Amino acid sequence: MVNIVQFGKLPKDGDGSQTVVRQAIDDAISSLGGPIHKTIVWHMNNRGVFANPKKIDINFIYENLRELLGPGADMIMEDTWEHLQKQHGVRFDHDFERKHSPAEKIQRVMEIGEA
Amino acid sequence: MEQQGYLEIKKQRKYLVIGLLAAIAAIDATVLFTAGSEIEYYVNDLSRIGTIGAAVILSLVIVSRQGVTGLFGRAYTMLAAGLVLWMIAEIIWGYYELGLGVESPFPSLADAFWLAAYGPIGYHMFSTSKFFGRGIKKPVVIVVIAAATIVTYFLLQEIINVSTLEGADALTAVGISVAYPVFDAIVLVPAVLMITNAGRGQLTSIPWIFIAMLLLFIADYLLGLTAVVDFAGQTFHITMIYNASYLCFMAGLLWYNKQFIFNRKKTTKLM
Repeated sequence: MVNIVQFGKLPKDGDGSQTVVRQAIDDAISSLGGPIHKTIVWHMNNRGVFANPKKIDINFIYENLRELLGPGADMIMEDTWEHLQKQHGVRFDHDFERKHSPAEKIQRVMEIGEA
Repeated sequence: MEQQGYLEIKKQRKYLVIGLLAAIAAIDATVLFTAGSEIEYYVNDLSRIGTIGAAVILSLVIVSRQGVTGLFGRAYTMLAAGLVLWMIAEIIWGYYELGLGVESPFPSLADAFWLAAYGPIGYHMFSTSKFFGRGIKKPVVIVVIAAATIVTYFLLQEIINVSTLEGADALTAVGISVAYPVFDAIVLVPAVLMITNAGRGQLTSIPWIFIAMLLLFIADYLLGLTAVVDFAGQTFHITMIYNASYLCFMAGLLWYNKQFIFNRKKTTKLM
């Protein structure tokens, strides 16, 4: 089942899509402010979340962000997804888009990139 | 190390809560025990100037440390601007009472500063609620908006009904008394919503600034009621609530300054 109707400018190899997703997460956290970005990344690094920059586990990132920031984690995931849509033109079919959370959609993007 | 970091955060949160309660108890006890004495006005006015002044200093430290960019950079700059305006208002009120000997100067220039602060404070509340308010269900939002509207309507009715002011300034005074709860209600909606959504996140579980706004709403309502009956009766209890509110702002700013803004020394200590 392929739900992506448009892959846009997103690299179709596994490593490329991981790097783009990592960059999108970074941009979403940066939009909160520079010093806060450093603090969040520092906490995430302590938890080993960003230990392997080439291997992103979006659910692990989301869980840790949620533990640290509570509801703010959802905003970071939504902004990350928005970034992927705007900057890389990633689109899902309407039904998938409506039924799934941003973290699930990002996960699906990476799964397809790895396939 | 993650566990150690979390335990450190929990310990610091506990210290902050204890420190806040101790500060509120100490300052408000002074207000309470000097009520009715000759120095009542000095204690009331100076305690409010002191507590809001401390919050202003911290807010300016935050702005200088984190800058004005990003969602939080802009939000905390606006909060600092709002707190500065409130501090100016408190100083003007204090100057009228203690310097010029005008008891309860209402309406006055101070009200212009108090009311002007709602712009930047509102910006802070609404912009940070984008971050803290994720996941709030629509029915909860509707209930809170409806409740705020109903409560404000009854408060306004009460303020207008009990008004005993007469003369040229009466309309202005009632208008200003009415403006406070209206503006408060607008910023109260995100505050209450964030409080209902609180309790999660190691760094975000206590929404200090939103709690401060809730206390401010209560104090403003009581002050509005007192103002329209020409400040008949005691007002020290209102000062106590304002002090608690300003100290909650300070606690929120302390927490934010310590936990949210990257500190190289802290990272070295825990590494």
